[in-house]
Amino acid sequence: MKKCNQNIPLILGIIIVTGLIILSFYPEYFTNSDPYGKERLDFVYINGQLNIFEPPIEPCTEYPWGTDLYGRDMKSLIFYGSKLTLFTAVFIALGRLIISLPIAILAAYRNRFFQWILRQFNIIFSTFPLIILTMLLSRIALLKDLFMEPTRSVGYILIFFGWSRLANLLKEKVEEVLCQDFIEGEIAIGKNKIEIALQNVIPHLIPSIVVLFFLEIAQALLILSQISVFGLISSTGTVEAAGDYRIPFEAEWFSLLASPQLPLSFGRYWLILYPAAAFAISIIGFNLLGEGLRLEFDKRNSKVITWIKGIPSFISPLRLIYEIKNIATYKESVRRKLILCTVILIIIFFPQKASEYRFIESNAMTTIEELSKVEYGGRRAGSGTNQMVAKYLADKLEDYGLQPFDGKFIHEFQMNKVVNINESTLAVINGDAGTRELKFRKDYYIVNPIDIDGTYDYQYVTMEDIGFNPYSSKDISHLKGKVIVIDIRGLDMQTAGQFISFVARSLEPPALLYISNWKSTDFVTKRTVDRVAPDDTKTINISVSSDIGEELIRRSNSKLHLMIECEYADNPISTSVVGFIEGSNENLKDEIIILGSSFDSVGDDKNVRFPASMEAGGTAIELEIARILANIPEKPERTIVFTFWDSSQTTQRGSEHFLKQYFVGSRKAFYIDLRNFGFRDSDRLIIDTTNTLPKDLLAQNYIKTLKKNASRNDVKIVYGKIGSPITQDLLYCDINSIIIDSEGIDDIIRTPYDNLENINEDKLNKPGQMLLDTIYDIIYGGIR
Amino acid sequence: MIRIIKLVSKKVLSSSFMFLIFIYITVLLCTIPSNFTLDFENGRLIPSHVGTLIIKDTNEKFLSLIRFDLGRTGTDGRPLNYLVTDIMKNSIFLLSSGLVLAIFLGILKGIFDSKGGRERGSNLKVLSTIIPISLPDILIIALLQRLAVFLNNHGIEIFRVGGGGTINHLLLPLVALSILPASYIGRITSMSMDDCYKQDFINIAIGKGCSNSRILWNHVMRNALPMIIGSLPTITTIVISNLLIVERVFGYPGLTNALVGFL
Repeated sequence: MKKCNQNIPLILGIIIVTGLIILSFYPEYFTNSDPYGKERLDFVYINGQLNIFEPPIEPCTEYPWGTDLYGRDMKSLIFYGSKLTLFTAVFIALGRLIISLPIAILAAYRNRFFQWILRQFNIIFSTFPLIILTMLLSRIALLKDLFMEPTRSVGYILIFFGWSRLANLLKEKVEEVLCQDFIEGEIAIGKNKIEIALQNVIPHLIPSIVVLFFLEIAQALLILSQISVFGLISSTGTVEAAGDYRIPFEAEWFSLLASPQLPLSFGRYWLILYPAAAFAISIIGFNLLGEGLRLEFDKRNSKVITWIKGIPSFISPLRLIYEIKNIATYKESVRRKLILCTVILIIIFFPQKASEYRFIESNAMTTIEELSKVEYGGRRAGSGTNQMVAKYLADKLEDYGLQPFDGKFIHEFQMNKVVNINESTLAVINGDAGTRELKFRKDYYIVNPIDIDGTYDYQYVTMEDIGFNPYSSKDISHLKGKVIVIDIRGLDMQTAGQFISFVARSLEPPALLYISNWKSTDFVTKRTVDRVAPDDTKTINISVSSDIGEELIRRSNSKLHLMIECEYADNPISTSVVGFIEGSNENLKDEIIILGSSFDSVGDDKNVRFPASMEAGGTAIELEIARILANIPEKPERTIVFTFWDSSQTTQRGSEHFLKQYFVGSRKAFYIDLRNFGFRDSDRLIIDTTNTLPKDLLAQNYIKTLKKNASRNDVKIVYGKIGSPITQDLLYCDINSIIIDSEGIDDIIRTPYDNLENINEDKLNKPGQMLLDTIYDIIYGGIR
Repeated sequence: MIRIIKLVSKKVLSSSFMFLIFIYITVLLCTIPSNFTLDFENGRLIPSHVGTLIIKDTNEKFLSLIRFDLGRTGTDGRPLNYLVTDIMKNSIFLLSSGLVLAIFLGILKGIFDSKGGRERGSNLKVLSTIIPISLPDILIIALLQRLAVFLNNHGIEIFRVGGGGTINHLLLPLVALSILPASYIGRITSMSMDDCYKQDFINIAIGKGCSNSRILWNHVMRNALPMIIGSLPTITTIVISNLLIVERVFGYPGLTNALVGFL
């Protein structure tokens, strides 16, 4: 140990690497806020002057390292991002080592093929920068499809093309070992090459492998930092998924370095300096550790080398069994190993503190069964059945003893016209080729429905055909009265919108079919409720899947039969249900916690049922939490409001009506939105914390409480962006919020398969218990 | 003699063959469309693009490349030959100046770092060699640009933070480009110098009463130089990798812009 004390690089390396490991596993202890929360555009009066704060915010007291372009706290992003970044580097180093070691040994044994491979790889990649190859390869969609995410695909590219340097170094080391005298001795006693490699070469290589492994991690980090500058691995961290559903992402350092020339030239140095410094410290740490170990191993009387060589036999279970059999000789060693095993087992299986109150999943299941009933007709807002659901929920809240909000449980308002397309037919009639009937809500969906029944000529037109782009005056009179088919795949949203409105305005076709970039589904999918067409609309807009679109283009100039039958509900009523338990602490009762879920869904069609059982999961869990909390005799410190929204799928949301009436400017309030729960194949929850301000420490503590309870209840969570209609109401009211949903339900949500058969009662238990514990901790637990 | 000629020609032929294969694979990688993927349908893998067409396209591009005809740009039809040679001038100038500066600074640093035949604690030397080679290019660039902004704000307008065209624009990219390779060269120089100082002929030279500078330049450097030159291919790869980052971040009008434009 005295010798080791003199080895400053090793000590520094151990300190830095240990620090990084602790940081990557427990980032929450080093930062106040979550890495995903975004700073919003803010107006603040300072000394009577209006100041506008807009991300990126430069380093200040609230954000010591500033925020990134999206308004996320830079310090949290770097601390939380260390895990994925370092693991990617370790993964690359490990992958290279696994490839290099056998090749190095074989090449050292003078296997001509492997010598040739090693030589060629060395020649190519000592002249051709790996970074260019990564740029060329990572743009190909095949790799993205194979490895699913950019971090992984870049990792594999760096492993498969970057191992040769390490293999060459290892080969030299193997050759050194093979030149030793004892190898001749081993050959003399009759060992073959494989035995020598396994029993003599590899054990002698272990110190070199350890050194090279740490240096390789540093190399991997260095090249990752270079690749990051080109934004090749940026999509995991910066994905901006407004409107999309359930997109998970994880913080890392790569995306922070993407496109750096812009922030630097505008003087926003903090956007690049801190992530680059994080890379530098990690690289220095691993390099110092590797070099420090090398210095240590070079010493003639190094104990570390003996210690490292002893690790494999120390952890070998076979060795332990052997020692137990010969306990008399190995008494001390067995005692030490057993103590270590016991400590590890205690750490792994240390009992968690039991929850104060138990979440009863069968009660939640009863609610889901109730809401999935046929008589509620898929709970479409304004259909009348939702009033029955609201009555059921309000009665429950009253039974549990909650107080009605503003004197009433049911908050209702008059909605405008509501429509549902009961049935639709779209068939291509093509004389000899026969009739091809397209499937409603599988191959096409109708954007603005009008009742129609007729057969029309249809024609596929391009932008050029009608003089839209390049702009020219064209004779389009022959297209009048025909159904028009256009292709908007590959166009950006704005151009596509302009193209559609140009066709609708200039040709006024009875129907406009636009081929979009989605594939036909195997089962009926109703993404959202049908929207009422504006009164002056003459054209029905229909979105057609990409594969059917190709067929429509091929069969252009045929006839098309179109039938749409709508069901209108006039003077419908939206009925949201709200109850609350008032806080007892005068100082804290204004820090209101709102738990919310939507009980409405897309509604049944004429022949297709949409029971929306998963969507009822959020309501079911919330109702059960309300029951349990209402039964606790002691009053909570903070006020909790239970909200069950109606008409969340329409443009006249219950949440908008309620929140704008009671909660505008309530930054003290915190909202938790529960969406879909209980799907039998979904193992993880996805949590969207992007709408919580990073500087709001109280809200950040709520999020930390949620995470703590997730790990306590063994709930696996991932972070991501969830498109929820309520987000805009919450942002309008300046309320911090989190949204919780199940992961991996995209294919089943709002299809007839979202039914009771696919709901597993056990899948409600853990999320329910996690949420109950979280809410309990927040409103009773004294979080400040 | 004939045997030597045979051997050399065999080497040259096999190297050229490998070089051509390498160029072909690079052209192929560039030709594969970015949306190329394999779909799994009915238990069969179906490529999204026809493979033979990609190969045909690659062959055409490869043959035209061998004829030194790069074709024309897709957007405005300008001849690529002219564009590439024009842009390449900038990049090659930066690259070669960076390399020369790196070798100069690296050898100086190596001489400074070398123990010079004396036994000295190695900790400081390890730290002074490891820390510079561990700094990512982007950190060096960020710090240099910050420095340039600071100097410009205080009226010292020597450095330009981005762009190209004048000597002032070239200064920061040049420094940023050469720091990392200079550290590598410094490390190799000091290592090979230390190896030389351990040799017996140095002791003899000292015994003969040679001055330190005479030992350094006539005995040590002469023997250390082949090792430094031997490391130049690796150093050049590092400089090329750095060049990409430097050109991109400084907005320097070089090959990287063309490459990123292609991607």
